[in-house]
Amino acid sequence: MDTRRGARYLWFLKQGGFRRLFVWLFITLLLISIVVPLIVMVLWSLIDPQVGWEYPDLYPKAFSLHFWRHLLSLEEVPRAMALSFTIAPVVTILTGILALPTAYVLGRKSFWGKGLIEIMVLLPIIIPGITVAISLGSIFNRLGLSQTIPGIIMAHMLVVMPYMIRTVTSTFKAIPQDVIDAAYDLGASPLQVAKYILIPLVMPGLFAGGVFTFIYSIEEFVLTFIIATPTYQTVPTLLFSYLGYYFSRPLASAISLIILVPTIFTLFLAEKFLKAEYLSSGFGKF
Amino acid sequence: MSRMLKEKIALLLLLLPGAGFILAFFVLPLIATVLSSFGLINFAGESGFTLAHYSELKKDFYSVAFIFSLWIGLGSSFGSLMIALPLCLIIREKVPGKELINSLFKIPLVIPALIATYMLMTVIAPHGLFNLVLLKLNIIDKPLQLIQDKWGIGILLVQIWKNVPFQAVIILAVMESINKELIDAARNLGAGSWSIIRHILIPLSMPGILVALILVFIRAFGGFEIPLLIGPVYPTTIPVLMYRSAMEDGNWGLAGALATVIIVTSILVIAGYNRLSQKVHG
Repeated sequence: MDTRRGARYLWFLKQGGFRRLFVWLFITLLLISIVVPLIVMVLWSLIDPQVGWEYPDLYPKAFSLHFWRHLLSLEEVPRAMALSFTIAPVVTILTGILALPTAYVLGRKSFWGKGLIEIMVLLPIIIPGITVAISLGSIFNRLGLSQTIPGIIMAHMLVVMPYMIRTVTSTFKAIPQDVIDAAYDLGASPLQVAKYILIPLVMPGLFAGGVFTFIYSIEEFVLTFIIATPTYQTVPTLLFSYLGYYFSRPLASAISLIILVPTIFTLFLAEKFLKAEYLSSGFGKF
Repeated sequence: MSRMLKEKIALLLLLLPGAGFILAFFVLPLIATVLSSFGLINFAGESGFTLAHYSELKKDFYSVAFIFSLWIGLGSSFGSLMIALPLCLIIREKVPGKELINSLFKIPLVIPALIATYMLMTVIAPHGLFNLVLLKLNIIDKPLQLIQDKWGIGILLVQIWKNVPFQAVIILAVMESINKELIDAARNLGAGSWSIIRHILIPLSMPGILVALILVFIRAFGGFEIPLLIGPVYPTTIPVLMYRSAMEDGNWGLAGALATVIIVTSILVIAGYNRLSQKVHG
């Protein structure tokens, strides 16, 4: 019996089993490292305050919805959630509108100084946002945008604009010139070409850019923190305050889950409807 | 008005909404930051040219922070690559459950840095699950100090956790575009999997690999909230010092000088990337 098992084991290794073993181990560890922290967070948000989660226990001994109820009873939490989730779609739509004409020019025209503008559009990706946070703060101060909702929206748009421009630019690039020429030959006006050809064909790019925009707007922290706190709290800045002054693990866990569930859902939705190249064109090759 | 000029004006007007927005609210503040480091713009007080903020940076304290930031940047980018690259090679092949892996591995991509930090902090803390399991399995006999440690292991773990899918998405896009016939031809000529990986897949994915390394380096080097939360008090990174000198000490000029260090480093890294990618493309 034992020798037979040994023989089978040797056969397994000969058939590239080592490699398969490595692959399985790698994938399992990777998935564990992603899923376990999420589960731990769910558990922390569900602990019973009377019992807690004491150190050598692998899991809490009792569960309750106490902290979720407490969370929703705090006025600031629903307010921050409402703010985050209304700002994100506004940012997405405005960024799309502003990015569209720029992306059209960058995707379909060639002109002197184009390279320079392409680099400029990339700057918010390649230079960390914190470097402008402080001077942007004082510029916003002078414009009366500090501590206002339009200020937060503009700051978020700044962070996401490059991704939107890049994804839409690459979709504009992919439209074959023949289609446009054919439309003109058939007597279409520039407006009709835009309405019936360019806009529909560029929709997937706008949608992919929109996914980025939505997710990055929900998660943006540095600029919001410097520009809008303490007057306005988005979910991330609120979480930051829960991690600092009044640290409460169960509360912080519940707030995190409030952001995570919709963003992960958005990701899966995007995965279903978008091809991988759209997602990567945002930051692929420079 | 000539037609050429009209067209140029039209182009400019079309560029204005997106590119103009970035010019006004990113490029100008960036210039203001650099000017403020020389005292030419002062957000709070009188202005006048000075190099005092830069001579302040000569202190050991700041060079340690710079080296620590470099360490975090390099550790994060190469650390992530060591997981992202095998992941891409695996996903490219036909693995059972590929679809599931393909969507699960992307989860950290959409998890905000702040939450990722907090989540991992909970798991790797001295009394966290990770240490507990290792203790119960008798692999270690006292908890490992993985957060707020002086090597920044906690920062690296969070950065790597968050950036593996980011790099993998970029590299996969390039890898998928490699001509399949090339790989079939190599296989027909007797190349094994390993030599296909070494001589075809990795060299041809190089442009993507470089971009992935650069972007993660810059994100980690200039990242602020992760080192603030999970990093040690000393040494710390340049962005954290910058935040402290501006917000806590009100020393805007010094903050500007520190920001300029981040800007110059990012630009140098991008310039280096440009040189390298020209070499890669031949």
